[in-house]
Amino acid sequence: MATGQTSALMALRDPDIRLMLRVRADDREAFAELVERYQHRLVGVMHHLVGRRDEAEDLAQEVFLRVYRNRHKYTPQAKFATWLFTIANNLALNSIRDRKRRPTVPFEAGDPAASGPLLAHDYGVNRDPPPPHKVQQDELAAVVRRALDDLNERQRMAVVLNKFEDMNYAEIAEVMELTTKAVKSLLSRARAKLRESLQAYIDVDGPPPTYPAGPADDDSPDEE
Amino acid sequence: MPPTDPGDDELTAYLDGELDGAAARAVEAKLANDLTARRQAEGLKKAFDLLDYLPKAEPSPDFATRTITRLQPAVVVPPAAAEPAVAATPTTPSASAVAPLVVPQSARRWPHAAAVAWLAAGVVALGHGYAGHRLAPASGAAEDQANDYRVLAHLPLYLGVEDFDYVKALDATELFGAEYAAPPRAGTDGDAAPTERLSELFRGYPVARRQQLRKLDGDLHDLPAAEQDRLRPVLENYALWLDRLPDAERRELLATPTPAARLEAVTQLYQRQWRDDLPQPQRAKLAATVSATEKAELVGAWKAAEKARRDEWHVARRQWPTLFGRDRQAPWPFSEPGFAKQVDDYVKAVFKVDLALPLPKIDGKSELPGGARLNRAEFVYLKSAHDSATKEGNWFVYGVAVHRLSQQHPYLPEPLPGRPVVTTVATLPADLPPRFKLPPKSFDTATRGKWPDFALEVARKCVAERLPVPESLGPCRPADFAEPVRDFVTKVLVPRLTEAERDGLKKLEGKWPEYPQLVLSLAKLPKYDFAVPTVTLPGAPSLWAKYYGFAPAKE
Repeated sequence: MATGQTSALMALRDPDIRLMLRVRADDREAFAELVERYQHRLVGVMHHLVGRRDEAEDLAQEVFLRVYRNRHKYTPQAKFATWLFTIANNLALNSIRDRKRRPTVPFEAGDPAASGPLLAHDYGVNRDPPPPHKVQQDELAAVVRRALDDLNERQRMAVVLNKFEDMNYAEIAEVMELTTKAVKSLLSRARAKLRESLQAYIDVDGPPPTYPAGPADDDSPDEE
Repeated sequence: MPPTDPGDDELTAYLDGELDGAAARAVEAKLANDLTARRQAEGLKKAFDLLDYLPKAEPSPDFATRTITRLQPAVVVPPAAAEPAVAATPTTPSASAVAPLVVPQSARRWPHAAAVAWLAAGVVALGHGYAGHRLAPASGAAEDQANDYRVLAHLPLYLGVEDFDYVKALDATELFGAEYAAPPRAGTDGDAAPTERLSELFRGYPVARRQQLRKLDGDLHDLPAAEQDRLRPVLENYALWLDRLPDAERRELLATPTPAARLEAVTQLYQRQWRDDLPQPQRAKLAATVSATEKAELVGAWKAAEKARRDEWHVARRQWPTLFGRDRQAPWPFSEPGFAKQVDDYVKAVFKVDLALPLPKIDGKSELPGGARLNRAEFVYLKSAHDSATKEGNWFVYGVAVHRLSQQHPYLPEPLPGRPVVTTVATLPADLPPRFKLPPKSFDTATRGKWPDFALEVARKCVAERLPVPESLGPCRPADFAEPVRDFVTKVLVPRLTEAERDGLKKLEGKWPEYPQLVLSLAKLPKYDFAVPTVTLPGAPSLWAKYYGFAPAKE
């Protein structure tokens, strides 16, 4: 009965939980409403994570399907969005790792890109950084995209949840199943790396930026 | 390596509003006294702000529908089915360990339909809701997975298709027929290998549907290459049409319980779209027409006009290089010495008109000679085309006109010189049955004076009155034909016929118009491809069809 009371209290606070409880009771209309309500956020987050819209939609769709398949196991706790993005987190991280293991476009010998994707600091090293006001928005978007891609998948996830889902560290920790302290460290490293990658496009008074000689690689887990 | 000292963690947390009072004040104090720290904080903040430049992806308009539709199999397929979990719990693209499939070049005769936006539009997802799921699982059927790569490569074309009979039905309609489809695009054979998405979709089908798709694929690929090329655009057109439908309508179509019901629904929807796409004045006219008969007549007339335009465009598209290419030249047969004159002779002999005559006046009554088999409009059309050819070099236009009119006014061999030609009531043969008492005025005046039109009308009336058709209506044995036709039949055609064909022809001797009609049909067969002197257009029928036919001939 305690669970029932908890559910009722949660549902009062979070209309999405109320909706999910209807989904749990096999209400298809409720599921449709849930999809309708969360599709923009979920596709948006997935797109920021994987960079491709079609793949983002595939992943978002799979998240919804997993929600439906696991509806009977759903127990209201915290915010519904946290539960949803926990599923999204697992799926997206698996997808990104899977893609790393099986690159779809093989690099040919002699291809200058064979050493890896073009990094944002390649721009800074090889040419003078263009003044920000002259950088076309889409060009800048591409640069930022590369900077985001340059983060490891966990950093990227944390940044996306923090930036675009406006989640605090505790919520991110719950979604990513980390401690709050680990999230703090993760985001610190991520934002430092972003600043480094985007240095050429940041208008800060002071001497020209310098760049490290070797590519950054901090793929190791950040959590404690 | 980016800086990672503990101070950075605090700085970032401060910027994120995650520090409590004391910790926040400590960072603020540091920022107040340390220029480097301030720059560092500013850099962190601006870098974070730059993320706003990332484009925000919105889900496709049909995303929600596609997602919800993917639940359908869970409802349609009973849990006890052979593969209960596959459709209801499709594997994820990421988690599935599907190795990319490689399609051998030889298997790519049918393009992957990359132009078809099936996948992007999400019809793949709808495939899960396809009515084919209602099939009973095939018990014990061994799956031929070795050939699945080919099925997968063509799956976008098969999604709305039940089986080969359905393809034939699509082909038979005027909706997606290959006649007006674009010619095969060069280079489309090098399509991509089947995607994991297709593979996932395919594996999500019940066994019976997979077997059905394999059979469909096998049936199509067992066809002769030319027939495959002809049917491919049918499937592409259908797939594209389905792709462009609103989600709800597409879903409704795919959920129809039987192929016949689906075809009916497709036809009705197509017709409705056609009416909706009419220009506004035509829509208004249709709306203002009360009588159902008149409405049907209006629609019929507009469709006929549309078909004529489409026909002409289709031919023009095929002959574009000839018409407008850099090396524009007279097309066959006008490129052959003397052939233009033979065509003119044919026009005189068969249409019974003289293109040297001036265009008839609107109110003139006898501008066309008696016996002319063309009406005034047809004569104007043919003469204009002829003038355009002789004066401006537009031989293609003339060829189209001659070919079209030859099909509208097929000819039959004339009787031997000196024998009566049945073109009027007065020339009706004496052996006409006594009970054949139709008054002369009952005959269609449009056929009077014209061979073989009048005689054909008499024959039709005999059949209608269940009377024998008199043998003397027209030549119906080799000996009855004038020399060029007789020689052709006896020396050219008959020696080449198979025994069955020869027997069939022999049995029709004495029957008019069946005998001469069979002669023409046999001569026109692709394996013979003969012109019948003085009766059909000069030159091989296949060449006329190739250059001027409205549509590639069906097998």
